[in-house]
Amino acid sequence: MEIVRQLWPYLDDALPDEMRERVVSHLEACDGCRSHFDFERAFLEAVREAANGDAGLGALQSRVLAALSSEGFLLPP
Amino acid sequence: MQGTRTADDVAPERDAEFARLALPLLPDVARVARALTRDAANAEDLVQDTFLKAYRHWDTFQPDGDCRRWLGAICRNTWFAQQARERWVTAVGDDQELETFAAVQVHKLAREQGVEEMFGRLDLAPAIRAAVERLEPSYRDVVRLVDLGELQYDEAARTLGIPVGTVRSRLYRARRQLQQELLAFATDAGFDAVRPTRSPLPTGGERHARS
Repeated sequence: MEIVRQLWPYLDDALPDEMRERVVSHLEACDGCRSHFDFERAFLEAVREAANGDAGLGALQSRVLAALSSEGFLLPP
Repeated sequence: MQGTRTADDVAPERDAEFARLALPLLPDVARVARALTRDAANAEDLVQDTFLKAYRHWDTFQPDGDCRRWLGAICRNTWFAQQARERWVTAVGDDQELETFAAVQVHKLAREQGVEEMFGRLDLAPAIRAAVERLEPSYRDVVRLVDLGELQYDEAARTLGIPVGTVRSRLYRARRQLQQELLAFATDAGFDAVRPTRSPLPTGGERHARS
C-alpha cells in the first residue's frame, strides 16, 4: 500500500528522487502495482487528450501566426 | 561581424525548425493556457505571448530537448509573471490513504467488468469532457490546473490560494469521481474487453510518464 499511495504523486512528477526510484524498482517487480499504475497512467493521458480535442484552435493558430510574422517569422512552404 | 553567415542566412532554417517543432504543439499550449486562465480571451492572449517568447528565444531551445515541456514552462512562467503575488499557504493533512484505497477499488472493478483498457479509446473523449464539466467547481479547478495545465501541486495551491494538502486531496478525489463515472459509462456502452498491454516504465521526469 505504501507504494500504491505514491503512484499519483509519481505520475504528477511530485516525488523526491529517492522515492521515485523506489517506486520504479517496485513497479518493475510487482505485477499488481504495475497493472494499477498502467490503469492510472492511461486515465491521465485520456483526460489530457480529451481536452485537446476542443474546437476553435484554427482561429487561434491564425492569430499566433500573424503575431509571429510581425516578429519576422516566415512560415516555410 | 565575424564569419560568413549572417542573421539573414540562418533565418529560414530557424523558422523552418520553429514551424516543425513548436507550431504543431499549439493545441497543447492552448490546453495549458485555458487551464491556467480559465478564461477564453486571456487564454488566447497567453498562447500568443507564449509563442512570441518562444520564437524570440528559440536559440536557447536545445535541439534534442522536449519542446512541449519547454513551451509549457514558458506558458506557465508567463502566466505567473502576470499574476499579482498571491498568498502562500503551507500543507495540511489530507485523506490520501482513503483515496488510494478507493482508486485501487475502481481499478479492480474495471478489470472485473472487462473495461480496464477503456481509457485508450478515442470515443471516450466526449464522456471525459462532460464528466470534468460535471465536477464540483472546486474539484474541477484542481483537475484543470494539475491534469490539464500541468502545474505542480504547490503551483496549483498558490494559484487557488489553498493548502497543498487540499490540492492533493481534491485532485485524488476528483480523479476517482471521474474514473467512477467513466467506468459506469464504459460498462453501459458495452466496451469490449481487451487484454491489457504493458508499456515500458518511464525513467522518470516526464509529466504523466508518457511513453
